[in-house]
Amino acid sequence: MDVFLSALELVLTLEVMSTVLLGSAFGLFVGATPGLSATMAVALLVPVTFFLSPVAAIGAIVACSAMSIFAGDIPGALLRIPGTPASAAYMSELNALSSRGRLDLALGTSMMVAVIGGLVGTLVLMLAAPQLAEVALQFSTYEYFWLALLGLSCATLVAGSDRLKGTISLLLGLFLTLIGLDITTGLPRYTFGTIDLQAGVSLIAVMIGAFAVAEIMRSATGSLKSIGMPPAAGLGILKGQARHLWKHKTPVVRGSLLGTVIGALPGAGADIAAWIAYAVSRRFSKTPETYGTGEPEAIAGSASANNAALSGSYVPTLVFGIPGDSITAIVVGVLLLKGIQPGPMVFITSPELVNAIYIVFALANLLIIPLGLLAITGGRYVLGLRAGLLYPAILLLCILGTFATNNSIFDLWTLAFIGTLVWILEANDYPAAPLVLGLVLGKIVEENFMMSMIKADGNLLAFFERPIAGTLGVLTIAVWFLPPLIKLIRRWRSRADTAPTKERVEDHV
Amino acid sequence: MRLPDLWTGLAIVALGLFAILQAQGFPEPAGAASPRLFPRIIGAAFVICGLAVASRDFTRGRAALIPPGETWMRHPKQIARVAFVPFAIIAYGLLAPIAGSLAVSLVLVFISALLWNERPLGAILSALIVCIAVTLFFTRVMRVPLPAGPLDLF
Repeated sequence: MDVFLSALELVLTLEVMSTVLLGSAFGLFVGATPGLSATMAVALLVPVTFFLSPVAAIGAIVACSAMSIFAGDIPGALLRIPGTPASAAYMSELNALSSRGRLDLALGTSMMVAVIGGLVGTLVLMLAAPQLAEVALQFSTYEYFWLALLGLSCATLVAGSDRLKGTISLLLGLFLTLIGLDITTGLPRYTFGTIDLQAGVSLIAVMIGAFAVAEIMRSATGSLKSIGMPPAAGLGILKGQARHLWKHKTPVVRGSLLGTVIGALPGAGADIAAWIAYAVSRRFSKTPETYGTGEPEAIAGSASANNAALSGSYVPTLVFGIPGDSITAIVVGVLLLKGIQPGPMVFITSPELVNAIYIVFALANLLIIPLGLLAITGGRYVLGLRAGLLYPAILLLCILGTFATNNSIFDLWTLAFIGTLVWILEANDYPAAPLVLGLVLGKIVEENFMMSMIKADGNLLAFFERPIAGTLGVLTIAVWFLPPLIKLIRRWRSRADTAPTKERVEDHV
Repeated sequence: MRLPDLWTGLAIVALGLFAILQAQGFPEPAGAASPRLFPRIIGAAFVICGLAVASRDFTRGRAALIPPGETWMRHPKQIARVAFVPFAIIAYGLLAPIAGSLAVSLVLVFISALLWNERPLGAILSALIVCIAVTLFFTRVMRVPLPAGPLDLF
């Protein structure tokens, strides 16, 4: 109880409360703007968090990401354009419901289930994280090496349609971590005599470059059609919500729990959670034929999952220091910059910080109601904002934000290079998220690998000798080789099936 | 910018070979903790994955060597809009220490707004409002010493 009160004291300060409010407002703005993602909102916040206390920094990120994921539903309902990828799964339901004159029901349901999903996710985080942390305390470098590698391997599985290209993107992130002084020997690698590279590549410059600059460049290739002012929605969206929520209680609870579990899986974020929850909700629905025509049950089942996934992704982040998605990869980066190593020891050394994160999560999700109402009322004005006013301002924020963190001109070269590189990569189906995950986790992988190698005196079998390490090792290898093996077997089977048919046709002729 | 898999695959192979060759030059202390080990693993993985990506285009013949044209590439303004993003970042890095952050930001945001189809008057107004607000936020709220330049307004 003392720890909880200390955590409450940490949260109830002017600095934390004001940054949570500002982070929320910023998240709502970015989320409601089509084309800008929640990850971009968080990446743009990073330079600001550099000057804040750890609780205020995490508070701003949590509030910003929770708000932007919910706000992504607003343009989905009004214009049939998802504000963030996390809203894409049920956007057609939102818009179909609005087209039938039930904008109030569409946005009211999405707002309320986002709050419930977020709170359920927070509850699971509060209950599961300390238990898992106790197990994680037994981990040695072998387990951490495999766990980080497993997280990275899973990230390539779900990051995009092309697994091979996802792996290359991950390798690029790992390669970037090699630049600078070697962790074990202190010798410079790939620095080419440049002093600015000795400390390694700036994490902030890479994150802003990958998630914001690349996104501006991608938008620059598109056409600039004016969206126009969408219809208005107001306070009426709360009317009758309690009845609707009670009617759809099962899909909401199922979506919230499913979202939390999916969010906790390394690499799977809010968007994947929403797609899976939508499919599951349809599978268990008594009226699956109404899906796609503006079914409130579909919104209840999937809009709860994306906000729950956000909380769920903090489970591996806090417990193991392994980010669950690109947003938590940024969180790990921010914590490392603040001198805090996420992992089981945080639960012992800074329990008040962990509790403060729980409180901030609950607060951010509850704030969705008042701030969400404001965003829904004013969202139509944000949607009418011209690209010529929006993108130059974001570009300036990227430049000054990157420069501000280290006062380094060299970071700007990194920003321009990574932004252009990721833009080219994404245009060729190489996803950006594994690159950032690789950069954040690369040092953990190499450090634990080298320490294990020293302990084992180069004996690779030692990596499998401890029970948990062995299990994680086998799992990681299965993640690498099982999907191509299954593909190969399927190809053989289909060939075997077609061969007799051909023979029969030839015999007949 | 859509490129053939052959190009991107071979670029990855080249990066892998570069990583391995560079690693050969790293000093190697006694014991298992060699600074060459991890770069070699990453480099080898680059070569294998790069070849796998490039091989997708091996059977496509000459067509694989030509990048497919994209709609935005036919419009000079869209090309300028894309190219201006990295250009603006580099220009800020080169010019801000000499002319000051605010002056350079104003010019860059103004040009950028014009490229995003904003009218000159709207571009000037938005550049003034955005640049002054963002500069004040960084210098006063976050206390970041941005390059002041000869005018030293904020």
